[in-house]
Amino acid sequence: MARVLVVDDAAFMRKVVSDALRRGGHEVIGEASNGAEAIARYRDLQPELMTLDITMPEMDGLTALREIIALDPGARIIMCSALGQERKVLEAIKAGAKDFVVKPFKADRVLDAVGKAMA
Amino acid sequence: MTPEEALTRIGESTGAAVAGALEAYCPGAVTTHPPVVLDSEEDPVAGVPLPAVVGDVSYIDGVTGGNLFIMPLPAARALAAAMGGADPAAANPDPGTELTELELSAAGELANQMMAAAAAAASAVLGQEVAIAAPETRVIAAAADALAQKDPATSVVSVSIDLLGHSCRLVQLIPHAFVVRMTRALDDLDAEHPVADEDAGWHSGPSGTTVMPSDLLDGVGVRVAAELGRVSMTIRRAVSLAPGAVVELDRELEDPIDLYVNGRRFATGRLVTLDGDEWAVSIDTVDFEATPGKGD
Repeated sequence: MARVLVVDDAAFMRKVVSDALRRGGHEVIGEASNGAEAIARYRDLQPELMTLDITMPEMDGLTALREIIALDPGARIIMCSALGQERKVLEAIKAGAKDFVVKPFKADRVLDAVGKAMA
Repeated sequence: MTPEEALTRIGESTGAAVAGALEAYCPGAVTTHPPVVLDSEEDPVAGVPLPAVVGDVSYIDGVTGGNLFIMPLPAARALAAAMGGADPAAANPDPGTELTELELSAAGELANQMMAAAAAAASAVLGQEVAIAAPETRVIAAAADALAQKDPATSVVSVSIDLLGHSCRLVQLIPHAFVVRMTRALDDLDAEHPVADEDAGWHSGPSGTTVMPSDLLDGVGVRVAAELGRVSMTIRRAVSLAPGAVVELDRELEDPIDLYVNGRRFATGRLVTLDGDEWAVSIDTVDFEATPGKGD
Protein backbone atom coordinates (compact mmCIF):
# COMPACT_ATOMS: atom_id res chain seq x y z
CA MET A 1 0.00 0.00 0.00
CA ALA A 2 1.29 3.46 -0.87
CA ARG A 3 0.43 6.98 0.31
CA VAL A 4 -0.26 8.78 -2.97
CA LEU A 5 -0.63 12.39 -4.12
CA VAL A 6 -2.81 12.67 -7.26
CA VAL A 7 -2.18 15.63 -9.59
CA ASP A 8 -4.38 16.52 -12.56
CA ASP A 9 -6.08 19.74 -13.60
CA ALA A 10 -9.31 17.84 -14.35
CA ALA A 11 -11.32 17.00 -11.22
CA PHE A 12 -12.82 14.14 -13.21
CA MET A 13 -9.42 12.53 -13.81
CA ARG A 14 -8.38 13.03 -10.19
CA LYS A 15 -11.49 11.09 -9.20
CA VAL A 16 -10.86 8.30 -11.77
CA VAL A 17 -7.23 7.89 -10.61
CA SER A 18 -8.09 8.18 -6.90
CA ASP A 19 -10.91 5.63 -7.20
CA ALA A 20 -8.58 3.19 -8.95
CA LEU A 21 -5.88 3.65 -6.31
CA ARG A 22 -8.30 3.18 -3.42
CA ARG A 23 -9.73 0.04 -5.03
CA GLY A 24 -6.17 -1.23 -5.19
CA GLY A 25 -5.72 -0.66 -1.44
CA HIS A 26 -3.67 2.53 -1.65
CA GLU A 27 -4.27 5.69 0.35
CA VAL A 28 -4.83 8.96 -1.52
CA ILE A 29 -3.44 11.55 0.90
CA GLY A 30 -4.02 14.59 -1.25
CA GLU A 31 -4.77 16.09 -4.65
CA ALA A 32 -3.43 19.04 -6.64
CA SER A 33 -4.66 20.69 -9.83
CA ASN A 34 -1.51 22.26 -11.29
CA GLY A 35 2.25 21.95 -11.11
CA ALA A 36 2.83 24.72 -8.56
CA GLU A 37 0.23 23.26 -6.23
CA ALA A 38 1.79 19.82 -6.73
CA ILE A 39 5.20 21.04 -5.52
CA ALA A 40 3.68 22.70 -2.46
CA ARG A 41 1.62 19.63 -1.57
CA TYR A 42 4.58 17.32 -2.17
CA ARG A 43 6.59 19.34 0.36
CA ASP A 44 3.75 19.31 2.91
CA LEU A 45 2.53 15.75 2.56
CA GLN A 46 5.73 13.91 1.56
CA PRO A 47 3.85 11.20 -0.33
CA GLU A 48 5.46 7.86 -1.14
CA LEU A 49 4.28 8.23 -4.71
CA MET A 50 2.72 10.85 -6.97
CA THR A 51 0.72 10.59 -10.20
CA LEU A 52 1.34 13.68 -12.33
CA ASP A 53 -0.57 14.94 -15.38
CA ILE A 54 1.49 16.63 -18.10
CA THR A 55 -0.78 19.33 -19.56
CA MET A 56 -1.95 21.65 -16.79
CA PRO A 57 -2.45 25.41 -16.41
CA GLU A 58 -0.04 27.69 -14.50
CA MET A 59 2.74 25.10 -14.31
CA ASP A 60 2.83 21.94 -16.42
CA GLY A 61 3.73 18.49 -15.15
CA LEU A 62 7.19 18.37 -16.71
CA THR A 63 8.29 21.56 -14.95
CA ALA A 64 6.85 20.33 -11.66
CA LEU A 65 8.56 16.95 -12.10
CA ARG A 66 11.97 18.58 -12.54
CA GLU A 67 11.49 20.76 -9.45
CA ILE A 68 10.34 17.87 -7.29
CA ILE A 69 13.19 15.62 -8.43
CA ALA A 70 15.58 18.47 -7.56
CA LEU A 71 14.02 18.61 -4.08
CA ASP A 72 13.84 14.86 -3.63
CA PRO A 73 15.91 12.78 -6.09
CA GLY A 74 14.23 9.61 -4.79
CA ALA A 75 10.70 10.81 -5.58
CA ARG A 76 8.48 8.15 -7.13
CA ILE A 77 6.49 9.90 -9.84
CA ILE A 78 4.24 8.34 -12.49
CA MET A 79 3.32 10.59 -15.40
CA CYS A 80 -0.20 10.61 -16.87
CA SER A 81 -0.27 11.66 -20.50
CA ALA A 82 -2.67 11.75 -23.42
CA LEU A 83 -1.94 9.85 -26.63
CA GLY A 84 0.43 11.85 -28.81
CA GLN A 85 2.59 13.17 -25.98
CA GLU A 86 5.26 10.49 -26.30
CA ARG A 87 8.04 13.03 -26.65
CA LYS A 88 7.12 14.70 -23.38
CA VAL A 89 6.86 11.28 -21.73
CA LEU A 90 10.39 10.48 -22.85
CA GLU A 91 11.60 13.81 -21.44
CA ALA A 92 9.86 12.96 -18.18
CA ILE A 93 11.50 9.52 -17.94
CA LYS A 94 14.89 11.12 -18.62
CA ALA A 95 14.15 13.67 -15.90
CA GLY A 96 13.47 10.94 -13.35
CA ALA A 97 9.84 9.82 -13.65
CA LYS A 98 9.49 6.13 -12.75
CA ASP A 99 6.78 5.23 -15.26
CA PHE A 100 3.89 6.62 -17.26
CA VAL A 101 0.30 5.76 -18.09
CA VAL A 102 -1.49 6.91 -21.23
CA LYS A 103 -5.08 8.15 -21.09
CA PRO A 104 -7.56 6.63 -21.49
CA PHE A 105 -6.26 3.95 -19.14
CA LYS A 106 -7.70 1.04 -17.24
CA ALA A 107 -7.47 0.94 -13.43
CA ASP A 108 -5.23 -2.13 -13.66
CA ARG A 109 -2.63 -0.19 -15.64
CA VAL A 110 -2.43 2.49 -12.93
CA LEU A 111 -2.14 -0.12 -10.18
CA ASP A 112 0.48 -2.02 -12.15
CA ALA A 113 2.59 1.14 -12.53
CA VAL A 114 2.22 1.96 -8.83
CA GLY A 115 3.17 -1.59 -7.85
CA LYS A 116 6.32 -1.49 -9.97
CA ALA A 117 7.34 1.96 -8.74
CA MET A 118 6.95 0.84 -5.12
CA ALA A 119 8.82 -2.43 -5.62
CA MET B 1 -2.40 22.74 -53.06
CA THR B 2 -4.79 25.63 -52.48
CA PRO B 3 -5.34 27.08 -48.98
CA GLU B 4 -8.89 25.69 -49.05
CA GLU B 5 -7.55 22.20 -49.80
CA ALA B 6 -5.03 22.55 -46.97
CA LEU B 7 -7.79 23.63 -44.61
CA THR B 8 -9.82 20.59 -45.63
CA ARG B 9 -6.84 18.32 -44.99
CA ILE B 10 -6.27 19.90 -41.57
CA GLY B 11 -9.98 19.37 -40.82
CA GLU B 12 -9.80 15.72 -41.91
CA SER B 13 -6.70 15.04 -39.88
CA THR B 14 -8.04 16.69 -36.74
CA GLY B 15 -11.46 15.11 -37.22
CA ALA B 16 -9.86 11.65 -37.46
CA ALA B 17 -7.79 12.24 -34.31
CA VAL B 18 -10.84 13.50 -32.42
CA ALA B 19 -12.94 10.54 -33.59
CA GLY B 20 -10.21 8.15 -32.47
CA ALA B 21 -10.23 9.64 -28.96
CA LEU B 22 -14.03 9.45 -28.82
CA GLU B 23 -14.06 5.86 -30.09
CA ALA B 24 -11.87 4.84 -27.17
CA TYR B 25 -14.79 5.63 -24.84
CA CYS B 26 -17.75 5.06 -27.17
CA PRO B 27 -16.77 2.30 -29.62
CA GLY B 28 -19.05 2.12 -32.64
CA ALA B 29 -21.03 5.22 -31.61
CA VAL B 30 -19.02 7.88 -33.44
CA THR B 31 -19.63 9.08 -37.02
CA THR B 32 -17.44 11.78 -38.51
CA HIS B 33 -18.60 13.86 -41.48
CA PRO B 34 -16.38 15.66 -44.02
CA PRO B 35 -14.93 19.01 -42.92
CA VAL B 36 -16.49 22.22 -44.19
CA VAL B 37 -14.58 25.49 -44.59
CA LEU B 38 -16.99 28.18 -43.45
CA ASP B 39 -17.54 31.72 -44.67
CA SER B 40 -17.24 34.39 -42.00
CA GLU B 41 -21.04 34.80 -41.97
CA GLU B 42 -21.81 31.12 -41.40
CA ASP B 43 -22.80 29.80 -38.00
CA PRO B 44 -20.23 27.15 -36.98
CA VAL B 45 -22.57 25.53 -34.46
CA ALA B 46 -25.71 25.37 -36.62
CA GLY B 47 -27.48 22.09 -35.94
CA VAL B 48 -26.00 21.57 -32.46
CA PRO B 49 -28.75 21.80 -29.83
CA LEU B 50 -28.09 24.54 -27.27
CA PRO B 51 -27.21 24.96 -24.47
CA ALA B 52 -23.98 23.10 -25.14
CA VAL B 53 -20.64 22.65 -23.46
CA VAL B 54 -17.52 23.89 -25.25
CA GLY B 55 -14.12 22.29 -24.65
CA ASP B 56 -11.60 24.86 -25.84
CA VAL B 57 -7.97 23.84 -26.45
CA SER B 58 -5.37 26.10 -28.06
CA TYR B 59 -2.14 25.20 -29.78
CA ILE B 60 0.60 27.11 -27.99
CA ASP B 61 3.87 25.92 -29.43
CA GLY B 62 4.84 25.01 -32.98
CA VAL B 63 1.68 26.57 -34.41
CA THR B 64 -1.15 28.70 -33.06
CA GLY B 65 -4.87 28.25 -33.39
CA GLY B 66 -7.93 27.24 -31.48
CA ASN B 67 -9.97 24.07 -31.35
CA LEU B 68 -13.47 23.91 -29.94
CA PHE B 69 -15.38 20.69 -29.34
CA ILE B 70 -19.04 21.48 -28.80
CA MET B 71 -21.49 18.98 -27.31
CA PRO B 72 -25.12 19.37 -26.25
CA LEU B 73 -25.48 18.82 -22.51
CA PRO B 74 -27.01 15.30 -22.78
CA ALA B 75 -24.05 14.23 -24.96
CA ALA B 76 -21.58 15.58 -22.39
CA ARG B 77 -23.41 13.73 -19.61
CA ALA B 78 -23.46 10.46 -21.57
CA LEU B 79 -19.79 10.82 -22.43
CA ALA B 80 -18.83 11.51 -18.82
CA ALA B 81 -20.67 8.32 -17.89
CA ALA B 82 -18.76 6.36 -20.56
CA MET B 83 -15.45 7.86 -19.43
CA GLY B 84 -16.23 6.79 -15.87
CA GLY B 85 -17.03 3.23 -16.93
CA ALA B 86 -20.82 3.60 -16.60
CA ASP B 87 -23.50 2.99 -19.24
CA PRO B 88 -23.91 6.18 -21.34
CA ALA B 89 -27.45 5.12 -22.29
CA ALA B 90 -28.47 5.48 -18.64
CA ALA B 91 -27.37 9.14 -18.46
CA ASN B 92 -30.03 11.81 -17.98
CA PRO B 93 -31.19 12.89 -21.51
CA ASP B 94 -32.82 16.14 -20.33
CA PRO B 95 -31.21 19.07 -22.22
CA GLY B 96 -32.41 21.47 -19.53
CA THR B 97 -30.51 19.84 -16.66
CA GLU B 98 -27.22 21.57 -15.87
CA LEU B 99 -23.97 19.62 -15.88
CA THR B 100 -22.32 18.78 -12.58
CA GLU B 101 -18.81 20.07 -11.95
CA LEU B 102 -17.46 16.57 -12.54
CA GLU B 103 -19.30 16.22 -15.88
CA LEU B 104 -17.95 19.60 -16.99
CA SER B 105 -14.48 18.49 -15.96
CA ALA B 106 -14.87 15.27 -17.98
CA ALA B 107 -15.70 17.37 -21.06
CA GLY B 108 -12.51 19.38 -20.55
CA GLU B 109 -10.45 16.24 -20.07
CA LEU B 110 -11.87 14.74 -23.23
CA ALA B 111 -11.01 17.93 -25.16
CA ASN B 112 -7.47 17.61 -23.81
CA GLN B 113 -7.14 14.00 -24.95
CA MET B 114 -8.66 14.72 -28.37
CA MET B 115 -6.49 17.71 -29.09
CA ALA B 116 -3.29 16.04 -27.86
CA ALA B 117 -3.93 13.41 -30.55
CA ALA B 118 -4.70 16.13 -33.12
CA ALA B 119 -1.54 18.03 -32.17
CA ALA B 120 0.48 14.85 -32.68
CA ALA B 121 -1.03 14.49 -36.17
CA ALA B 122 -0.19 18.13 -37.03
CA SER B 123 3.26 17.63 -35.57
CA ALA B 124 3.89 14.61 -37.81
CA VAL B 125 3.01 16.62 -40.94
CA LEU B 126 4.96 19.74 -39.94
CA GLY B 127 7.95 17.80 -38.64
CA GLN B 128 7.93 19.94 -35.51
CA GLU B 129 6.44 19.46 -32.09
CA VAL B 130 3.04 21.07 -31.61
CA ALA B 131 2.02 21.61 -27.99
CA ILE B 132 -1.41 22.30 -26.54
CA ALA B 133 -2.56 24.47 -23.64
CA ALA B 134 -4.66 23.15 -20.79
CA PRO B 135 -8.34 22.96 -21.82
CA GLU B 136 -10.95 25.52 -20.86
CA THR B 137 -14.61 24.59 -20.65
CA ARG B 138 -17.73 26.73 -20.70
CA VAL B 139 -21.42 26.28 -21.31
CA ILE B 140 -22.92 28.37 -24.10
CA ALA B 141 -26.58 29.26 -24.50
CA ALA B 142 -26.31 31.04 -27.86
CA ALA B 143 -24.33 30.36 -31.05
CA ALA B 144 -22.65 33.78 -30.87
CA ASP B 145 -20.99 32.76 -27.58
CA ALA B 146 -19.07 29.92 -29.20
CA LEU B 147 -16.58 32.11 -31.04
CA ALA B 148 -16.72 35.18 -28.83
CA GLN B 149 -12.99 35.85 -29.14
CA LYS B 150 -12.44 34.91 -32.76
CA ASP B 151 -9.70 36.78 -34.58
CA PRO B 152 -11.00 37.92 -38.00
CA ALA B 153 -7.72 36.77 -39.62
CA THR B 154 -8.46 33.11 -38.90
CA SER B 155 -10.23 30.57 -41.08
CA VAL B 156 -12.97 28.43 -39.58
CA VAL B 157 -13.25 24.72 -40.38
CA SER B 158 -16.19 22.79 -39.03
CA VAL B 159 -16.51 19.00 -38.69
CA SER B 160 -19.86 17.48 -37.68
CA ILE B 161 -19.52 14.46 -35.42
CA ASP B 162 -22.43 12.27 -34.34
CA LEU B 163 -21.68 10.92 -30.88
CA LEU B 164 -24.00 8.47 -29.10
CA GLY B 165 -26.83 9.79 -31.28
CA HIS B 166 -26.12 13.45 -30.47
CA SER B 167 -25.00 16.10 -33.00
CA CYS B 168 -21.65 17.51 -31.88
CA ARG B 169 -19.21 19.80 -33.64
CA LEU B 170 -15.47 20.26 -33.91
CA VAL B 171 -14.66 23.85 -34.84
CA GLN B 172 -11.10 24.78 -35.71
CA LEU B 173 -9.89 28.37 -35.78
CA ILE B 174 -6.87 28.31 -38.04
CA PRO B 175 -4.61 31.36 -38.43
CA HIS B 176 -3.33 32.23 -41.89
CA ALA B 177 0.28 31.40 -40.93
CA PHE B 178 -0.75 27.87 -39.92
CA VAL B 179 -2.49 27.38 -43.29
CA VAL B 180 0.59 28.54 -45.19
CA ARG B 181 2.90 26.21 -43.26
CA MET B 182 0.52 23.29 -43.54
CA THR B 183 0.06 23.87 -47.30
CA ARG B 184 3.82 23.75 -47.78
CA ALA B 185 4.26 20.69 -45.56
CA LEU B 186 1.42 18.81 -47.26
CA ASP B 187 2.79 19.65 -50.71
CA ASP B 188 6.13 18.21 -49.61
CA LEU B 189 4.46 15.11 -48.22
CA ASP B 190 2.43 14.57 -51.39
CA ALA B 191 5.58 14.93 -53.47
CA GLU B 192 7.29 12.28 -51.33
CA HIS B 193 4.32 9.92 -51.13
CA PRO B 194 2.06 10.43 -54.18
CA VAL B 195 -1.31 8.71 -53.97
CA ALA B 196 -1.27 5.86 -56.49
CA ASP B 197 -4.18 5.35 -58.89
CA GLU B 198 -5.07 1.99 -57.40
CA ASP B 199 -5.71 3.67 -54.05
CA ALA B 200 -8.87 5.11 -55.59
CA GLY B 201 -10.49 1.73 -55.02
CA TRP B 202 -10.66 2.37 -51.28
CA HIS B 203 -14.19 3.75 -51.37
CA SER B 204 -15.57 0.44 -52.61
CA GLY B 205 -13.74 -1.50 -49.92
CA PRO B 206 -14.52 -1.93 -46.24
CA SER B 207 -15.77 1.15 -44.50
CA GLY B 208 -15.49 2.18 -40.88
CA THR B 209 -17.68 4.71 -39.16
CA THR B 210 -16.44 7.69 -41.15
CA VAL B 211 -18.80 9.03 -43.83
CA MET B 212 -16.98 10.72 -46.71
CA PRO B 213 -17.78 11.10 -50.40
CA SER B 214 -15.61 8.91 -52.60
CA ASP B 215 -14.12 11.82 -54.56
CA LEU B 216 -12.78 13.25 -51.29
CA LEU B 217 -11.27 9.90 -50.32
CA ASP B 218 -9.51 9.72 -53.67
CA GLY B 219 -7.39 12.71 -52.72
CA VAL B 220 -6.36 11.51 -49.26
CA GLY B 221 -3.19 9.50 -48.83
CA VAL B 222 -3.02 7.11 -45.90
CA ARG B 223 -0.15 5.36 -44.17
CA VAL B 224 -0.39 1.58 -44.42
CA ALA B 225 1.80 -0.45 -42.07
CA ALA B 226 2.29 -4.18 -41.63
CA GLU B 227 3.01 -5.43 -38.14
CA LEU B 228 4.81 -8.68 -37.42
CA GLY B 229 4.25 -8.69 -33.67
CA ARG B 230 4.44 -6.76 -30.46
CA VAL B 231 6.17 -6.82 -27.13
CA SER B 232 5.64 -4.84 -23.95
CA MET B 233 8.57 -3.39 -22.09
CA THR B 234 9.29 -0.41 -19.92
CA ILE B 235 10.44 2.71 -21.67
CA ARG B 236 13.60 2.44 -19.57
CA ARG B 237 14.40 -0.90 -21.17
CA ALA B 238 13.42 0.37 -24.63
CA VAL B 239 15.81 3.31 -24.52
CA SER B 240 18.61 1.09 -23.22
CA LEU B 241 18.40 -1.50 -26.04
CA ALA B 242 21.79 -1.83 -27.70
CA PRO B 243 22.90 -3.29 -31.05
CA GLY B 244 22.91 -7.07 -30.75
CA ALA B 245 19.97 -7.21 -28.35
CA VAL B 246 17.20 -9.61 -29.37
CA VAL B 247 13.60 -8.62 -28.75
CA GLU B 248 11.15 -11.51 -28.74
CA LEU B 249 7.76 -10.76 -30.33
CA ASP B 250 4.37 -12.20 -29.40
CA ARG B 251 3.77 -14.11 -32.66
CA GLU B 252 4.71 -17.56 -33.91
CA LEU B 253 6.18 -17.95 -37.39
CA GLU B 254 2.92 -19.29 -38.83
CA ASP B 255 0.71 -16.63 -37.20
CA PRO B 256 -0.94 -14.03 -39.49
CA ILE B 257 0.39 -10.49 -39.39
CA ASP B 258 -1.73 -7.34 -39.02
CA LEU B 259 -2.17 -4.48 -41.46
CA TYR B 260 -2.95 -0.98 -40.23
CA VAL B 261 -4.26 2.14 -41.98
CA ASN B 262 -3.26 5.27 -40.09
CA GLY B 263 -2.89 3.23 -36.92
CA ARG B 264 -6.17 1.35 -37.25
CA ARG B 265 -6.08 -2.39 -37.89
CA PHE B 266 -8.02 -3.32 -41.00
CA ALA B 267 -6.73 -6.68 -42.22
CA THR B 268 -4.68 -9.75 -41.45
CA GLY B 269 -2.45 -11.52 -43.91
CA ARG B 270 0.65 -13.56 -44.57
CA LEU B 271 4.09 -12.21 -45.33
CA VAL B 272 5.24 -13.29 -48.81
CA THR B 273 8.03 -12.30 -51.16
CA LEU B 274 7.69 -10.85 -54.64
CA ASP B 275 10.29 -11.95 -57.19
CA GLY B 276 12.32 -13.22 -54.29
CA ASP B 277 13.55 -9.81 -53.18
CA GLU B 278 10.60 -7.67 -52.04
CA TRP B 279 8.33 -8.19 -49.06
CA ALA B 280 4.57 -8.17 -49.66
CA VAL B 281 1.47 -9.15 -47.74
CA SER B 282 -1.19 -11.53 -49.00
CA ILE B 283 -4.49 -10.48 -47.38
CA ASP B 284 -6.42 -13.19 -45.51
CA THR B 285 -9.18 -11.22 -43.76
CA VAL B 286 -10.45 -7.63 -43.89
CA ASP B 287 -12.18 -6.18 -40.87
CA PHE B 288 -11.81 -2.58 -39.69
CA GLU B 289 -11.51 -2.51 -35.92
CA ALA B 290 -13.69 0.08 -34.16
CA THR B 291 -10.89 1.66 -32.17
CA PRO B 292 -7.24 2.37 -32.88
CA GLY B 293 -4.95 -0.53 -32.03
CA LYS B 294 -3.35 -0.59 -28.63
CA GLY B 295 -0.11 1.28 -28.49
CA ASP B 296 -0.77 3.22 -31.72
